[in-house]
Amino acid sequence: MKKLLTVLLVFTGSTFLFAQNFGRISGNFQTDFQYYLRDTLIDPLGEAYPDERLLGTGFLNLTYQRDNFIAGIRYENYQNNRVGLPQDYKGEGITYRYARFIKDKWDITAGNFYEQFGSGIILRAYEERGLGLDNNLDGVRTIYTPMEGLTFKGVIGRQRNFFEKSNTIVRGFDTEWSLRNTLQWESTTNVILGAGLVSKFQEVTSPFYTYPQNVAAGAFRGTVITPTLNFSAEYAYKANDPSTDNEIIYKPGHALYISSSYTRGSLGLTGEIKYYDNFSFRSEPNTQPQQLLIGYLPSATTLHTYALPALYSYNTSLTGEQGFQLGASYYFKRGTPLGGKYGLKVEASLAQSYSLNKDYEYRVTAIDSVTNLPTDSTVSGTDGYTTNFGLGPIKYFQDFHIQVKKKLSKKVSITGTYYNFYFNSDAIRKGTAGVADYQLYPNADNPNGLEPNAFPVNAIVLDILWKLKPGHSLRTEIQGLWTDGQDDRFGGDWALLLLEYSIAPHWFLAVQDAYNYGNGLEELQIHYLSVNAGYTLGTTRLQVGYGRQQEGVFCVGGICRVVPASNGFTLSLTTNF
Amino acid sequence: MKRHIFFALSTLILLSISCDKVPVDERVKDPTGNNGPVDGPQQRAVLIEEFTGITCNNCPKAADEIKKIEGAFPGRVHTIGIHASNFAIPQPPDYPADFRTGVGTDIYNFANPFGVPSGLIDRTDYNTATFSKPYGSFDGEVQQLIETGAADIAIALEVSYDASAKRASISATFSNQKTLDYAPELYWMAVLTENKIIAAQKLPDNSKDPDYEHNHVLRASFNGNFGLPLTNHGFGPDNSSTADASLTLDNDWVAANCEVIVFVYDANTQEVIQSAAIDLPE
Repeated sequence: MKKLLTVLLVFTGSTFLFAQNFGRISGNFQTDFQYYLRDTLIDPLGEAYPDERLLGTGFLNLTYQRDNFIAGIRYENYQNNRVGLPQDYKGEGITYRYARFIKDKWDITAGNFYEQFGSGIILRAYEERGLGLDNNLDGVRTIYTPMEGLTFKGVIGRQRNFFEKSNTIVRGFDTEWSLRNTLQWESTTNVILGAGLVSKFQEVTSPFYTYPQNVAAGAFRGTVITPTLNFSAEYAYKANDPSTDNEIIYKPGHALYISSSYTRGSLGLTGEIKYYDNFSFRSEPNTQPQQLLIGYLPSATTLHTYALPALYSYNTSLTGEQGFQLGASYYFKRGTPLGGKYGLKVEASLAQSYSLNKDYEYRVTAIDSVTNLPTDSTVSGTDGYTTNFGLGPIKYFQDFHIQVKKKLSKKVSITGTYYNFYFNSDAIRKGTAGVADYQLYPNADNPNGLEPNAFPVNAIVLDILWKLKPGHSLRTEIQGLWTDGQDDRFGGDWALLLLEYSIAPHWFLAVQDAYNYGNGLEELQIHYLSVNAGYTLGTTRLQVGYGRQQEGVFCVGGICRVVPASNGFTLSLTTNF
Repeated sequence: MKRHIFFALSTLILLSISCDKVPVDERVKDPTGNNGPVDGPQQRAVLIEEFTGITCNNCPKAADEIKKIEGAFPGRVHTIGIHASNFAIPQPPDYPADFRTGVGTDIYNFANPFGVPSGLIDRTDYNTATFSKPYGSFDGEVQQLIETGAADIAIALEVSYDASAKRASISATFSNQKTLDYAPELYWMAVLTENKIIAAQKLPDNSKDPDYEHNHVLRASFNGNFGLPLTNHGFGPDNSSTADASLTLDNDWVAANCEVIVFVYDANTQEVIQSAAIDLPE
């Protein structure tokens, strides 16, 4: 009966209310399937062609609430995980369950929970399903609010690692103080101060290196908020934490992240500065690249959503980088010379990321028995390097783009964007960045150092929305991307055309052709044609598709995953109740 | 308010104590010691199945790490270098070598690793997220298995090679050193690996080394992609059995650089119980 009830809840999309005394259940459901077709052009080895042919995943969240008590579960089902997502998500089970009690000044959670301290540098437990990333903590969280504006948080638990948990214990404490609330300021300005500390207990066996069992990271932060200005800064320090990420060096880590925004009338300005020095912070020092991250380093770049520019997304180098992003937007009002009849919005942004300015230190590991000169050395086991003020010699990334949004008439509006990237493929996609970029520095074999595989990328996107008649619209994307860059099978010029016809509020049909006509490998100068259709009814959405998907880089907040090219049918269903 | 500040500071101080600073002179351990062969029962050796590829820039790092581990535990670590995945596809003219094999691809698909470089360590942790392991964890995993001491089953190998026919024959004797109270479903497998192959490899700095020395390259299996059942092998402490297999070498393989690796594993858990290696006689 319970199963039947659950099914009814899921597929009717209804809200189910128990009698008042029994509380309320709500939830959501998502399922995605893909049927794969063999495509020897895009996948000569058949790696993206699974034995199962049909792969599907499903997620069901259920939340029960009664008065001050909340409890929830998430059921996950991978039969098996789709290509491009972590294959260690396999099988099914309850992966998230918790009970939470909120009363007076206390908020207590037992079980799984997500949490973030400040900007997340020392702790960010979160889920990003599209990346297959879920590093929630299983343990206890206590939040105490002794007075308005003052909050203390304490957490302890172990991180999720696919269907298992890490052996490492993570414990943390954070406090945040909103001065205006606490001190009853009548000003429109507020100042928020915060501090946090996170420590992990790990047990690592190695015949070569001694790993610390307890590793702590602490951070201080402050935010000033006025009606026009928002400024926040956070500095974090991390004790010695040797790992595969940082080539097993023992240097303490430092991180600084500053963000600000200013708005006045039609003008908006934003700025971000990042400085990350050896700040990869994971539950386990030697694990898969996207697993068991405790901290999160904001990328200070724009996350592009159009398909072609998104091919060259930035991936934060956890072990060392610095950079900035500056943005400006201006709205030319209606009736002005540039604004015309419907107004005009212009946005521009420049972001750059560089290596740190470092002097590496090495440990000699082999000596020539005849000459007594060192024949081999390593940074492992040392502090790794010392830093100097200023930008490092290796540029990782640059993103300049300018976007113009203009409504041409009652029926037609257009968004045009120009992109210019500098893309250091070795740093961003091959990991030769941060501590690892010592390999590019001058040495005995390469007195002048090595040049990374880096190249410029230019792209233009035109997004035209044409409202044909009430409820009917046609959206057209015309995209072009030009680069001489090539990274193995990925690269070269692209052209893309998307036609998306919508009948509000239920239907849409989209046809897209992406043509990689300039790929450096002639056999990959091919069309990626796809068709998608969707139907929405209330909070339920069904989408089906067919086509060849180009290899993509899917990023969220600077964390990226390469999704291999594939060919086949897709179906997805989402609903809330 | 003072009470709250005191509470916050106390907690921060308590947590900050939870931090160990490793002294400079204790960071690097000397792995050489009593890690070599010992008298008495045959000690457990560890099998590394390394997934690698010629265009995988970080794979030489894993190869270096394995070389270090082999040096730290002489004679007790055996490595099979499995070239598989898109990173193993030849890309002439820069990377023309093709080290892929059917058996290697099958093992790679069986392990279903998150990428390369990675590997299996005695095929432990089957059906878990840590079945395939990042190379940074190889050393600790190997050490833990080495420290388990005597192997449950000892392996003795005899090999012969007919140079004119390029035919290698292996005879392996498996002898229990204790009662196998976990009732394993025993399989044995023998593979041929080749060392000192010079071919282009992408390096960590993404440059090409045209004269890179590839070692432990898996060439072929003597007895199927996942071995054969070790039939009629009892679980008693003195039980032993012998198995034989042979293989014809390809003309391109240099017999003098080849090694035969034999291992026995429990098909119930997939875990390798013991492994042994022997050079092919010239």
